Amino acid sequence: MARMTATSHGAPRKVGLREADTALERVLVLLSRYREASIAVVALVLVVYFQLGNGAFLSSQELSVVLRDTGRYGMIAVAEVMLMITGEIDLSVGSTFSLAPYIMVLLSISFGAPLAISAPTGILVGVMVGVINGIITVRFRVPSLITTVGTFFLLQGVVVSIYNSQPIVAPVQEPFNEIFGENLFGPADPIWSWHGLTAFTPFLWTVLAVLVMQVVLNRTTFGLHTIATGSNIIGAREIGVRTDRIKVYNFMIAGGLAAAAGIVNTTQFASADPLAGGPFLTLQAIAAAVIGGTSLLGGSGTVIGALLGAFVVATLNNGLVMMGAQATVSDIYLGAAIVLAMILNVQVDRMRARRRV
Amino acid sequence: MDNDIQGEAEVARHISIDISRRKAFSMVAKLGLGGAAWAGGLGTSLAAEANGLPKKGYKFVFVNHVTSNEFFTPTIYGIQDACAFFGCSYQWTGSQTSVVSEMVNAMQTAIAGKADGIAVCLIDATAFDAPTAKAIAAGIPVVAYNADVPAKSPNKRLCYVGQPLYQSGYNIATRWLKLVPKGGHVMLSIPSPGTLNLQPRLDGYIQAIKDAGNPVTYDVVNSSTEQPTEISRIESYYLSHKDVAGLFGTGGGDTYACGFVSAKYGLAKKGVIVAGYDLYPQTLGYIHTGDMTFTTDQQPYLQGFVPLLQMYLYKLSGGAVAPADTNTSLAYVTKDNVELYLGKSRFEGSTSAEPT
Repeated sequence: MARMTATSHGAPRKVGLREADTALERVLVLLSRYREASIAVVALVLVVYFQLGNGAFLSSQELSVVLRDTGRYGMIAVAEVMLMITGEIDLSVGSTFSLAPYIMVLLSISFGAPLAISAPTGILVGVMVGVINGIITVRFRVPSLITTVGTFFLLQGVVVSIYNSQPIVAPVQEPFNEIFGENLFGPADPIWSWHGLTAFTPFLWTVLAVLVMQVVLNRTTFGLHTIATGSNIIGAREIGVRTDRIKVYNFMIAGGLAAAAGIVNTTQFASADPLAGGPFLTLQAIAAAVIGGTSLLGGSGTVIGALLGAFVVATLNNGLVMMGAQATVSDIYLGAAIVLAMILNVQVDRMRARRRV
Repeated sequence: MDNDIQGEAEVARHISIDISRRKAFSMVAKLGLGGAAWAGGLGTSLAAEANGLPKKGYKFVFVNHVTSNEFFTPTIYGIQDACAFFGCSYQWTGSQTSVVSEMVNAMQTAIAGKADGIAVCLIDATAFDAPTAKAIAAGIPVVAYNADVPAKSPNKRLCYVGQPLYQSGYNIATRWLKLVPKGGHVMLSIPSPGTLNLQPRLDGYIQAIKDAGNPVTYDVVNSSTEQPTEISRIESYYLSHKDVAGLFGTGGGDTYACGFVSAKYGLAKKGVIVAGYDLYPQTLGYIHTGDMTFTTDQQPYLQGFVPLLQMYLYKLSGGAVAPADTNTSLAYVTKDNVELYLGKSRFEGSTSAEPT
């Protein structure tokens, strides 16, 4: 990579990337090529640690648990990434996560609508929540942090009042349930089978969302405008980007994805619980997005990083239980591990930056 | 002499009425308006001769730690039914997420707003002492429900209506300890360690294990308070501890999660003992299918009805009818009696329709 050039003293001087001298540096060079590499290293370290600590971590049943969790956090983390790139945030996703499946189940129970119809309606409700969040934020100039704290409580209130805080047992309609989240994978089933596949459906739907958003972000004009809006809003406006509209669209994507995540969750347990989402879920999804490499200040982000971040959060969530972390201290480990993962991630990122001359 | 009277009053105040809801209602029905007598712990036929208690426009404030939690839906129905009976009104307020300062603020607001009585879940050992004293000084009765301060607390609440939490944990553990194989390993879960409405149950579990002749070993898992996380953590625990002989929840959500994991892997049917608290519809379903051994009904309806009844009588009598401790938890739900709970019932919160 490095080119040699003559200096005034006649000695050659290196420009461009410094050459890798040691094995460690060669690894760092490799890491520096991909922004997501640092969080991937963190994820790998955690998997190795938990597998060594408890041999069951990499069993197919446990991977199913961890990847299903990853799917839940990941779908919402991806939603946050798009918004955070524009410089906004959505804290109402936890409530949308509870509201959409509630609407779906009520439509199916009260009006006999098949889930295949009531589920898109639930997602549409999530998109509408995004429209409301977006319009309040861009038209009324309310910071999105406050707008969405408001809508978080408002929607939470709506969800618990619809049915007097009671969970509703959701209808099971095959093949809808098996396709969208129901886990048919029993201890005796082979992993390479339809039942084995259903063990991972929430994760696979999230992977699909990640791939789509990756293409949208990096290969479309909309993605370019999204990044432009977050990195330099005035400049973006001057070249004709309709930044307000871009933000509203991203709020709609966030609402829609949060609703979809909620619907997959309800399909999985055949139960719509008014408290399924909540501040804990929202914060963990935001943590996943940020430790995955998305800036809280806007302008840059990675959806693949968010998925890896979600995997780290899900791994910690379940790995700590497997290691026998007792209830009173488990949150200490979880909090410390998230901070350590973030420190490691930032340090690897800085090393990557330093390698550029 | 004064001391004697005071002593008797103390005894009356701390009389513990162990009563099941169904027994209570049949008793009320037999006595007509025997609620007054019931609250006093006397149960004489004198009350049957009364012409009826007057409807009063008292306003009572219920300060709760998880205002939107499904567990308390029957509690609200109990409050509504008692309000309709006595012509009172109520406000349901507090915190959604066990934030003590929000609950203390709600109490302060109720005192400033001259409420006629406050019922509060005392989920913190000391934080409610000052507002309780302030309310009592202002002539506002304070009744604890669902969660109570520790035994020797200086808190001035007049009585506690609900489950004696530590004792219930102890009793439930004693019950499942008889079923768990000797020397087995069990999982105990708690959704939010340290809160006064759950931690004492866990402490009761642990004490019962220590006292029992059965040398059971245990791990305590923090299940979190969100349903999907509760399920995945308990499932992870099982997958990494396949020799587990028992899964025991201390809250409604984690008990349901224990049932979910048991049903998925057929654990109860393989002899694993699965038990816990409360009557989530899914939990009852798992009892019905044999995926859960038993759960405990702490009768949330009574936790609304009885505090309101007691505060009403206290106000009406000018304080002569002292609120009495009421133990609402004696009912275990097993496969043998689960049918009783499976229908739609206002008393269990599964419908808002009044019984006919």
